[in-house]
Amino acid sequence: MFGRDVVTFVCRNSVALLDEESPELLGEAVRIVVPCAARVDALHVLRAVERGATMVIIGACPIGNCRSVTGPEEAEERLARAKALLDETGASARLHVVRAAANAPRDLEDALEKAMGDAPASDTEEAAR
Amino acid sequence: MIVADRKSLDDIVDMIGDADKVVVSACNACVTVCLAGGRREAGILASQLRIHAKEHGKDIEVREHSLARHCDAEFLSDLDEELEWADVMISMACGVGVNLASELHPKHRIVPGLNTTFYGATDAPGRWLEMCGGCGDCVLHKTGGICPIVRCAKSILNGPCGGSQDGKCEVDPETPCAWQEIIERLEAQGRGDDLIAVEPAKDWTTSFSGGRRRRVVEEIYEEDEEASA
Repeated sequence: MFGRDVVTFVCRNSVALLDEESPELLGEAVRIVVPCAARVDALHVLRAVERGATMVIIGACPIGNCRSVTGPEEAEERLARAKALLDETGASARLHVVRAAANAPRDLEDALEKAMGDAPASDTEEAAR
Repeated sequence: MIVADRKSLDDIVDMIGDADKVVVSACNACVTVCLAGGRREAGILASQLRIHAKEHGKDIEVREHSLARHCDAEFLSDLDEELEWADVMISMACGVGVNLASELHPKHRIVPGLNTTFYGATDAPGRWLEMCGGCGDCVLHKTGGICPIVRCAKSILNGPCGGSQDGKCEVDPETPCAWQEIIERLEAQGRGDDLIAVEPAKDWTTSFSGGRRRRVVEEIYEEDEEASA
């Protein structure tokens, strides 16, 4: 179960719709509905961490299933930049992109479980890239 | 436009030292377009500084600020209040802005948040290419609008050199040979024979190595002097 220290940016075409049906998946996490996962910028992620978020999750559509065509891929790129910027500060918030279609709650559940189990992103080699 | 890169956070933290009150001032002109120093990038830096301070147990206050541009004194007067408050200002403008702000506010500490790199243009979203070296003696009319000063690694005026291979530069196989491009462009314009003429040695006295350059429009400059008299 996520607490208020988790900030989620959720695509209105996928994860936001899933959240309406199954709000227990995101628990108490802060939800910010965005028109597309690609709308999330490194600045949004940094602001969330600055205000105390220990985990930031971008909820995107599956690759190939995005109304804006490349939203999930672009969200990954923006999050990679946010990770690099965050690494410079020495902070270690966990940053993740989870992907699930609006009709696939199980995919979201699996992705969130995986995100919760991962080490802080800034401590991984992936974050350094 | 002027293109710049942001300095690393470590470099910026070193520059601000033990300042408790920091203002990050964005420039909404060229460096906004190249995603280096605009309002968003200033926000990112300010946020990084706050997170860094928190991680390192420091208590600093960081304000964000932006100006239409930092290269005109009229706009820089808006900095007065922020500079009075701050121990140090990080300018997210190009070097021109840092110079001018420091000249107009000599009692205040203003440090550069960016490394100013070149005069360039947007080649594709997220990529900018150098186009002009500001040498003060333009030869673009002879080279089909392709600057041999910055687009040729050797800045030669009678190219290509022996290092041009398959249209690429020997310095970097990803970089087109500027002289190959010049030849192709002039040939396409039916001006290939223009290249037979030997270009004499360039007069570099117009470039930056002769000290600070200035441009004066006499009648306007005199009018200003009269107005201030």
